[in-house]
This record gives sequence, C-alpha cells and structure tokens, in this order.
Amino acid sequence: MTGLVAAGFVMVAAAGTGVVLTRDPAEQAVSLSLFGLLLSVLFLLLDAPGVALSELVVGAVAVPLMVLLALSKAKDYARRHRAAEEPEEPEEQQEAEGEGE
Amino acid sequence: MSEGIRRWTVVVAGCLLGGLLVAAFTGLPAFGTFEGHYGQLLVREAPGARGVANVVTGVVFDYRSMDTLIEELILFTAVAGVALLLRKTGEERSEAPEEAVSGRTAPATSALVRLVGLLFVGLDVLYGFHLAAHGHLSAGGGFQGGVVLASAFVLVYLVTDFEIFERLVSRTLLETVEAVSVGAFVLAGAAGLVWTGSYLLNVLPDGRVGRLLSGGHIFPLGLLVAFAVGAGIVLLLTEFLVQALIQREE
Repeated sequence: MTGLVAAGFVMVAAAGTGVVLTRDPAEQAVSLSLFGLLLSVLFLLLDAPGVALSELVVGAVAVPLMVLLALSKAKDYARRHRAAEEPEEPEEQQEAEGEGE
Repeated sequence: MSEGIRRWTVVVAGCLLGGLLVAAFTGLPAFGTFEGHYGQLLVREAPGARGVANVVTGVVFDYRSMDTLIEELILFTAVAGVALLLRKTGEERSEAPEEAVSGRTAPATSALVRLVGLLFVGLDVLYGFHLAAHGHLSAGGGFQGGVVLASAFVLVYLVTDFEIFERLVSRTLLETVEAVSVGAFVLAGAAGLVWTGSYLLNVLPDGRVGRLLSGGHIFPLGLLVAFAVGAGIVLLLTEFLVQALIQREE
C-alpha cells in the first residue's frame, strides 16, 4: 500500500465519520457529497477509474441533490402545516422582524 | 425491557460481532493481491477472445451482459416507480411556493457559476459520449457515460433556473429515449437468440483490439445503456425538482 492510498483510506474514514456526526439533514447532504468526492478519489487511487466515475456522479451529485430536494419539500410541507395552525402570527415573520431591529 | 438489560445486550452482541469481524479480517488475502482464478483467466483471454482492451467492460457487456440488462431493468423500474408515485394529482397545482410561503427569495446565481457552468456543459456532454463509446477501449462504459451525461443536465439546472430547465428539457422526450433504449437492449439480445440460439450472445464481428469498431456488440450496447441511464437519472431528478415546486391545495 503506497502512502497515497493510505492517505486516501484515512480521508474516506474521516469523511465517513464526519457524515455520521453531522446531525442536521441539510448539512449532512453536503457532507455526504464531500464523502462521495473523496471516495471516488480513493477508487481512482485503487486503479478503478470506472467505479470512480460512477461514484463521482451518483454519490457526490445525484444522491445529495435528491436528499436536498426531498428536504426542501418536507420543510415546505411542515411550514404550511404550522401556518395553517397559527394563521395570525407565523413564526418565520417574527424572527425576520427581530433580526431587522 | 429495562434500560440496563438493553445496554448489556448491546455490549455483549457488539463484542461478539466485533470479534467475528476481526477474525474475518485476519483471514483476508494481503492488500493488493488477487486470487480469483476466473478473473485472472479473463484478463489473459478476454482481449484475444472478444476484441476488448478493457476487460471490465468486456465482462459487463459481454460475458455478463444478462446481469447488465437486468440492472438496467432495475433502474428502469425505479424511475417508473418514482414517476408513478410523484405524479401530479388532481389536488396539486404547479406554482413557485418558495417565495409565497417563506417570504424569502433564493439568491441569484453568481456570474462566475454561470460562466464556468456553461463552459462545462459542452465538455460534460462530450465526455459522456466519449465514455459511452470507448467503454471497450478505456475506462468507462455505458453506465459511466450515462451518469456523466445526466450530470450535464444538472449543470444546466445549476446555471439557469427551473423554468428555463423545464423548457429546455422535455420530459416526453426523456421518457421516449428511456423507453426506446431499454427496449432496444432487450431486442438486441433477441438478435443473439435468432442467429446463435443464445440470448444476448454477441453476433457482431470482434474486430481488432484497440479499434473503435471492435469488441462486437459492446459499442452499440454501451451507447444504448448510456442513453437509458442518462435519461433515467435526469427523469428521476426532474420528478424531485417538480415535487419541490408543487403546492398541495388545501
């Protein structure tokens, strides 16, 4: 095992741990994307360029994008439900006013 | 079950599984060595026997083309399932809900992102076709070419906005490309059945190793898979994008 490959393994392990330790789903999608990028670099170092290309697009682009889109939909849905329950004073607006002052 | 018993169950099970894992790792062959006889045989025989310079693609599209067909059908089923589940129902209407609901507007795409993105869309498409067409010669193949082609569409979405993306990318066209390329793969297999008696057995000439037109049916099958995978992934992402913009009427 060359030093470069060893460094690749360490980076992937660190990034994987990072994904698990990221608790906010939106932030996790971004760290998952970084993990996918590093994993594809490791595949390249291990002489598997074909797998690296697939991992690059599927792991670093497509899956995080789908997670983000699904999250945006879910948050939108939750916001609407909250707005329906308290129609007079939506939470968001209060926060925005507070920041303005 | 009480908290204490649960914790001890986890500790004991974890120790047992961990021990098995360590035992399994000690039995692994040394890093970088490969003892699969079938693999070594293929590396030696495949270039001469099938006219492929890239043995991996030779396995995927020739020796194991049936597996590839079924994997493609899995992707097809997944895309069809998503399209069915996320279809627009009568009580939903298309609108841009983001601004209407949260009172926030998305920040405009920066000029640099647009410039670099536009530069790369063309290169991305070119590279996707290169990968799909040269699978039998160098690293890549149909699936890789397809996902790289799909990423070009993601770039288009990144540099424009969804309205423009939706106008540029016709879903009917994508669905047609997806269905036709999957169908053509299935029919290409039937050609083998007619001429050789075995489904998906190569009927095209092998050619000389290293030429673009070599490796028998790997070249056309690679292009078909690239179209199917590319259209499938773009359709999948489009369905999710549309969902993020749909509002449920209350």
